[in-house]
Amino acid sequence: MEKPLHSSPIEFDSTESFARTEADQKIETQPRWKLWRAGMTLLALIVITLSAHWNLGLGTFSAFGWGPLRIACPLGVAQVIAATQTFIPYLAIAALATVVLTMIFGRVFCGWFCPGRWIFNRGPRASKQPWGARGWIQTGILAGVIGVAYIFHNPLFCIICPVGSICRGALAVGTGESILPSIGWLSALVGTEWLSGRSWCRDLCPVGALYSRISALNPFIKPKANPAKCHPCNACVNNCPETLALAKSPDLSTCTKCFACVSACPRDAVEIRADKVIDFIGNK
Amino acid sequence: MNPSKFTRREFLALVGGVTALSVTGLVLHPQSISAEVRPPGALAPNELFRAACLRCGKCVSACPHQTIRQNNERLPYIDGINGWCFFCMDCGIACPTGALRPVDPHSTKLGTAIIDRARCLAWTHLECHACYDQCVKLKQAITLDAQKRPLVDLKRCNGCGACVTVCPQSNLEGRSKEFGKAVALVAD
Ligand code: SF4
Ligand code: SF4
Ligand code: SF4
Ligand code: SF4
Repeated sequence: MEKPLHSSPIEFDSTESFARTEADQKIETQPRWKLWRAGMTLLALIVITLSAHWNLGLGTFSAFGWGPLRIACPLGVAQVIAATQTFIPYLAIAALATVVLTMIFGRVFCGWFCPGRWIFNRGPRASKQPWGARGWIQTGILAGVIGVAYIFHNPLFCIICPVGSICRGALAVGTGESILPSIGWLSALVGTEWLSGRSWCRDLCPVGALYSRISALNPFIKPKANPAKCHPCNACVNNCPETLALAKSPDLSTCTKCFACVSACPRDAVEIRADKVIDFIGNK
Repeated sequence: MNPSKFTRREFLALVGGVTALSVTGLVLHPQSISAEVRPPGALAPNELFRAACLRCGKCVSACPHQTIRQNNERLPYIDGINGWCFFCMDCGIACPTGALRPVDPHSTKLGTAIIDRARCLAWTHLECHACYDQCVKLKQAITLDAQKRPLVDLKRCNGCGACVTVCPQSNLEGRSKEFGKAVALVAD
């Protein structure tokens, strides 16, 4: 039987014991965000698989919905419109619905729905830190993806997209096909991530980059370090998949609302601020 | 806690092995002869379809007969291996981009069935007319010649793939279902 670390009277250290006790209490009071997120991703995958198995036609993360009620991946739609060089109104509306949802909830797709998050996403553990001009480089990758679609008349990124590859796997399970092609594409991407020494989700993924751009318009769900409680210890930045240091009030557009910072902070200093929502309602 | 018998090294070797196998499979797996046969109502020509298809797989998840498969580019195609097309147009209704759209089921032609006489059981002296029996119920595009060997009427065939579904050949020679059938759909 292992004993709790701080139960021994010999190694007693008042500050450390204090911190641990608070952390211990936190575990009881905080929702277990990681579990909820994993559950949500799993649920989404099960819905995709069963919808294919029972031919409900709900679709995948690229395009999801029933009948005319559809949401669609904005990057896919942008590529298709660039590739066909035709504006497709009902497709654009489906992408707009996703944009509106992202404006309300932020980049939740990455934190809560994308299965890629559990496969890539080395975050702060990547051997290279984010690029200094990350914003510009990601805009460049995004423009490149859409430009390539335009030039070759083919939404080429969709073919290797991690989200799409995983959805293909889910469809394959639902319709009794082989999942090996999905594993093949995904392995190629994991290899790219490791060889580049970077984090796929933080530095490379164009889908995530586009959601971040849209999420810049989201005024609501924002984790903030309460300065009264926060003594910068880097627990947040070491756990944040986007390497955001909350003590330095960073630009939160890349935040995936995973709340790893909330779970990691030993002083309970991270708060999810909703004051804008309250202002918004109160000012009416 | 009882430590797992599976060591970290073995686990990594397993993951690496599956990965290497999948990548090799992806590179070496031959493309199906039917990879360009699209579900009904597909935009033509193929280049336009490629540009318009989001690779979302909504058509795959909508098809009630699991007829539609995805090729390595994740484009939908129909080869009749899992089932044939009933021209119900569920895929065209589901497609969010208009790459597939509902069309008149009676005037649609997906592709054409071709019979590989070197492997067809009837053409290599065993008696078989599974495709004929099936097609008679649907399109009457297959006829039997004097020796009871099947012939496809290229004009009548609408490429539904039912003959491929019922062809028993792959089961006899131990070939993969995908590449062992004696009849296959090809794009027009
Ligand atoms: S960055 Fe890309 S792979 Fe990562 S969670 Fe977001 S969409 Fe998925
Ligand atoms: S028309 Fe119906 S049966 Fe044919 S491929 Fe489309 S969904 Fe499947
Ligand atoms: S539903 Fe349409 S866009 Fe989606 S994979 Fe099928 S053909 Fe392509
Ligand atoms: S030969 Fe008959 S069964 Fe085969 S694809 Fe043509 S119409 Fe369908």
